[in-house]
Amino acid sequence: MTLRSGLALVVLWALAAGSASADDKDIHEDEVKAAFVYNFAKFVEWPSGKINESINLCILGESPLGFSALKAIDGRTAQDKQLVTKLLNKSTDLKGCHIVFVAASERNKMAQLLKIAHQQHVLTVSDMGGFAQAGGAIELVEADEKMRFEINLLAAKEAGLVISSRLLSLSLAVYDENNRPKQ
Amino acid sequence: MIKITIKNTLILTVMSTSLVMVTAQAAPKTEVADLSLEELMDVKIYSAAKKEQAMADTAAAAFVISQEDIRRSGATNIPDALRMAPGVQVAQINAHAWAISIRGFNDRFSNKLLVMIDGRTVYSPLFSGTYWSAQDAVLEDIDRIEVIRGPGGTVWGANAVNGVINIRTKHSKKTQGGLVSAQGGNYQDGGSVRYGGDLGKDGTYRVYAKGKHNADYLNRNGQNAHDQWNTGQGGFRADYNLTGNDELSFSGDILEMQGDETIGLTNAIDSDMSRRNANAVAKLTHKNEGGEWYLQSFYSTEERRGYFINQLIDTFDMEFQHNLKAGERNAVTWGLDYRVVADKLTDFNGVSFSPASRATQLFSAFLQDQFSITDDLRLTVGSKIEHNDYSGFEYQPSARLLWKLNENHSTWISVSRAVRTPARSFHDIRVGLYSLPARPPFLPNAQVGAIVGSTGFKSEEVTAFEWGYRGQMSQNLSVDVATFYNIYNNLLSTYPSIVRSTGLTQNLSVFANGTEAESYGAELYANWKVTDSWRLQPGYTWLTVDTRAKSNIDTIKNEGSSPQNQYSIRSQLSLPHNIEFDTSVYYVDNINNTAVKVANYTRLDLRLGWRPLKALELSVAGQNLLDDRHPEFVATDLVASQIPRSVYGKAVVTW
Repeated sequence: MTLRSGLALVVLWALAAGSASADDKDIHEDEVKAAFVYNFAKFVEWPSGKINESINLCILGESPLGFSALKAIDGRTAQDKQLVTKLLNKSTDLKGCHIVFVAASERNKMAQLLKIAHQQHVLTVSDMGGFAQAGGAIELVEADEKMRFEINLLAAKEAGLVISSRLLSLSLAVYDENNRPKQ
Repeated sequence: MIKITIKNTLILTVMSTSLVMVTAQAAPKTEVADLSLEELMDVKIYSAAKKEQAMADTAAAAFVISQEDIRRSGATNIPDALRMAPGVQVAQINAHAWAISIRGFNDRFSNKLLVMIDGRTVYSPLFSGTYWSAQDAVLEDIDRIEVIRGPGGTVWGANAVNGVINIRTKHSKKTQGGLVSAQGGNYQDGGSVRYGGDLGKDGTYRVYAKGKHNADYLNRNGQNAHDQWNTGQGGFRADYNLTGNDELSFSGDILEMQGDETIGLTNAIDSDMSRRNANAVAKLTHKNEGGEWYLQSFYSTEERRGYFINQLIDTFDMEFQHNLKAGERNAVTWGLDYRVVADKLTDFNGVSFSPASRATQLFSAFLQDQFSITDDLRLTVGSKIEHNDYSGFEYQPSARLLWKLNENHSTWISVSRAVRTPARSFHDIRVGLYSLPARPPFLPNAQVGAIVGSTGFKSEEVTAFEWGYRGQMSQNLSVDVATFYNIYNNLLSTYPSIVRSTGLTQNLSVFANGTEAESYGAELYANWKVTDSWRLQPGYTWLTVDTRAKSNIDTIKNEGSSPQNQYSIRSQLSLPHNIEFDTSVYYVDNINNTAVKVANYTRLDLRLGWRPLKALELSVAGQNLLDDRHPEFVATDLVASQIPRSVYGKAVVTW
């Protein structure tokens, strides 16, 4: 290849780069997960009196939801309330949380955590494999490079939460009395 | 003709592109959080950060080639995809033979590397090397390729001396629906079909078929190199969720290949080669709160017919591995493995094995503990104990320390020992070199020359010292540095032995362990998200290997050759209207030693992809674009071809 054609290639590249814009790319999974969590906040009903001025999303463990992904949903409104994100440090104190996103790093503490969360009417969401089957309310599942979710209706009921039929209809799998997760 | 150098290309590219970037308008950005659930479910995601995060927790030099990387590289086979991993040397010998190694000693049968597909070892027990042409998959169905540089013997066992390459295909849950891909070009044509569906309520499966044809390359004289090849492959994978915690997976593949090669020990001889491979794998995985275990068993059979030998090799392997938490601070992993390899070798043209048929067994056990000294300091110690029929008991211990300086920076050190247990060849082979009739009175005896294996051949050993650092410099820039110093002992050598009997003198070169070596080097790479739609990944690999004979009767056998410097830069650019423009530039230093002389070369690969519909991806790619053809390597038993410029178009339809 001559220098000239090398240059031509570079110019081609440069031209291509010049017209680049941001909206035609695949989106990072963290942003998509955060957006899903925001949507869940819209379609879940908490027991009356549980929610005061804001819906609080707590992040527990070494979170895969990056800072920028969280920023994108923080302060948005769901059900006429502001969504407020909060990072929990290794604590299992879920006071003031309405949704808890459980990072995979907390797998070993899950049984205890789910118990506390359900007692306090907290919606549990996680992207760790087998979360819904293990008693978590909503699990984010990656399928064919796209994000989907599974719902454990028994877990939601235990926490006193009502999940809208719209969420249920879009769910990849729903575990309930008729379709109990195998333990 | 002015050859464009890597330096020029890099400077020009970076200059021009950064200029353009400065002047580019900030495009209005759609917020992902504004999307409805239905829209969100249709968004294609990528997870570069996930692998980096997992990697940040490893006290070893590890790199993951993702599905996205493979797709955007334009690679049409696994060896070309491996060019992307820093520290890996990929050199193509002819249309269907590659030399691939990590941290030195590159050769057609690089024998210090463990290669696996979904945990099934695929290197040949005959030479400890890998026949890369027989390792393939529907590229779209590969989830990732994990590349570990440095010894991995503690967990993985024999052959993981300089590194481990594990090709992992997707879970069948992730390959639901159909896929048809077709490719045509000046050297390579091929196509794949895959379909995935449900198996009742709790299971999923996929089946696939793939075929390809590679045309003849040219040799260094510009003549036909006679190395065309065809291959057909088919297989399946099924995953069945038994309970919430247990999963049963089955997979199997068959492959048939036929091609030509030019044999070149003394004269160039055109020869046919063919192969038939089949394998079946069953795996049971159990996960619960306390840990995870799996039981995997595989059977594989391969038949290769060639100029020197016809090989029929059957392997059966059974493996168990268990990860468990032991208290707050310890994570224990232990495992057991049993393998039996049985072969039947038919010899031609001066190469022979004695015995011609042999079955060998291997038993191993390992135990490793990951101890969290503090939340930020983690020590991993363990060892493997292995017994094989050639060299008896072997132990492969390692100690690794990871220090997370803070959320974004971590550093690690390690010391480890690994062995390359003797392959069948080093014990049992005889390669005839020449045969002269007696001519009295000057030559009273007939003379025969040969290289012969030795039952005294021991394992090759390495002790490796490694240090590494990983840093997330900003949200958009991460860097990774790894350095190593390796001390090798008992590497392959030969010593002369003259055996005289009545009327016959045999001049033998006998395999022995008379070579020592030291190697050191470093691998650096960065992942820079320049803008939301442009990613740059520069890499540099530096390597020095010193080998010496242990005594003056030992002759260093060619243990392979690797370049001292390799630079690469890859660019992935996403454009409006679902267009992608991807560039890879690789510079590979010259190799100049007694066995191998190859000039340095620069390789440019380009890909232009367009997704006009969600279900359709069209692309045009060019590989090796900077010159008509050049050699990348030589081999002892094959006449090397020159690797040509190739261009192809590809269409992938999914539903």
